[in-house]
Amino acid sequence: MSGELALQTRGLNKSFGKRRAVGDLNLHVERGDIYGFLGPNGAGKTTTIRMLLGLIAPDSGDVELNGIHVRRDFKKAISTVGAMLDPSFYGYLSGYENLKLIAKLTPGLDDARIREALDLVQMSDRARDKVKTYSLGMKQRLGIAGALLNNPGLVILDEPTNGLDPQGIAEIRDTIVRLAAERGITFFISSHLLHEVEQICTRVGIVKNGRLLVEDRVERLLVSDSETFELHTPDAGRALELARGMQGVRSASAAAKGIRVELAGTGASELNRALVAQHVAVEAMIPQSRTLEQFFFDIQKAGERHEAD
Amino acid sequence: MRLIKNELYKVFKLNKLYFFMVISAALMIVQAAAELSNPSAGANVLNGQSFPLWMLSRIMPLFIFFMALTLAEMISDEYRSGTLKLFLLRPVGRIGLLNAKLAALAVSVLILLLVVMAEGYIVGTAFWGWGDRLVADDAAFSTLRGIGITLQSYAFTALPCLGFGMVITLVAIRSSSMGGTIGISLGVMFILTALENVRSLNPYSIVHQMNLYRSLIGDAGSSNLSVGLLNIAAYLLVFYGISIVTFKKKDLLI
Repeated sequence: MSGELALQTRGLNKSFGKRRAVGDLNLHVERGDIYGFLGPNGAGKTTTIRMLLGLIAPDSGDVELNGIHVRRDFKKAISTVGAMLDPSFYGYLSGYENLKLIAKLTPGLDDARIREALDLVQMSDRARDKVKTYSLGMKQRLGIAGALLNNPGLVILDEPTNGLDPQGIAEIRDTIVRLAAERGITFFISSHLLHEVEQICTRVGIVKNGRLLVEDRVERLLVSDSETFELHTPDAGRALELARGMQGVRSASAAAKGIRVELAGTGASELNRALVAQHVAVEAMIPQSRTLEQFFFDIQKAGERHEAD
Repeated sequence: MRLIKNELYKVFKLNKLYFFMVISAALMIVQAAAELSNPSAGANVLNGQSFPLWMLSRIMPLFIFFMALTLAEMISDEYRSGTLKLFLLRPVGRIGLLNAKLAALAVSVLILLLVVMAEGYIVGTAFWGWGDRLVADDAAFSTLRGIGITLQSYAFTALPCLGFGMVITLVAIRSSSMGGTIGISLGVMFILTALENVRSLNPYSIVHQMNLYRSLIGDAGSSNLSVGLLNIAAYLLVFYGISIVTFKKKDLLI
């Protein structure tokens, strides 16, 4: 851990009846992080976020937000944080009225600050319309404006791109990156959209069945001791048979235009030479970078094996 | 105070209060027309001064329905729609938020009671004329005294109303749907109303205390009033206490 922690949990546990939703969860979010909190549906992400914000009482464990213990001093801790869990607003009020009601509860927030927050998410022109006329994307943006009202150092967002179209997703993503860069805000974002997270997050924590499987910087998680290539060939069957019998090939599988090969270390040129020598036409060898999605599935499988053992 | 203002702002924006003002006026007109065409026992003393007091016990179910609807909207529906957490993600305590909702309910009930009283005067006068005195429970009062007693009775009725409101509050916290809260609350009201025939249970029934204002005008005596007030206080305290504990412990899953 190099930086100061904006968010920390210690041994967080929560069960609903006999079902354990979160188990012994220890999260560490450093200041300046855009932290992706990843996991499949039902992994315990939302329950965790609600415990962070005092909406659900943990069975045991502690939460600290910006160094303040949530259970001991909830009001002080929550006043340093902005959060959007789902875009729930009073539909019969306008976006501006909704923010006004929220702003009244934090001393020192005036109309100018409400307008500034609306500007930040480009919602000023629709602020006087009733929320029930908003699209989901607009509600999400209004939710982010609400989370930013009190100039928080840490913003917690639960599935902020849920239900959005590609343009809406891009808008939310750009807003987060811009705010992190311009204002130094730490973001804690839960999501199951791995591609989105990979594009913006600096660190991730992956949970499954309420347990943290891994927590690290994205670039470190994507470092691999192997190389993967997609090999385009019209003779995929023969190429696959040969590749599987070669030294240094960790795995080989069929792909859309040929085969996909994972090599231990650097053996791409040897593989190419060997295939050509066996009269397999190699049209192209395209290196594949490791994605967070691949890592996610690998770690999930490893978690399953661990649980099975 | 900011929380109370927020809750009141929502109550007035939702228009339910105005809707109930219109409904109560319509009910009074229907009731007055029915009495005029087919007078019941005691209706011969009706006039503009007596009509509001005569209507008070008859219009009470409307207040219970108003409280059930308002609390269902303020608590159950806000939980279901996720807006309950909008304020709880700010430096606000749960007890403070519940107190603000109850304060907003008390203010709305009081406003509705006073408006209904004013409507009673208007409708009564329109049907029978203003009259020369207030007659209620075989007692007659001068105009000025009559207005004082009517105002006192309506304001006093806010107490048993809020006693029952506290029962509904607990139901609203436990239930996660508006329909559930309204249905259970009305069910409780009907059961307690049916139990009115069991006289030994009357002192313990909050519905029975809805008529406690009669102690102010009749000769029921102050002991009756004290028992009634104790009963209302017990309902307020017990159900408030349980509501606070339940609300504090409630996991906001939605």
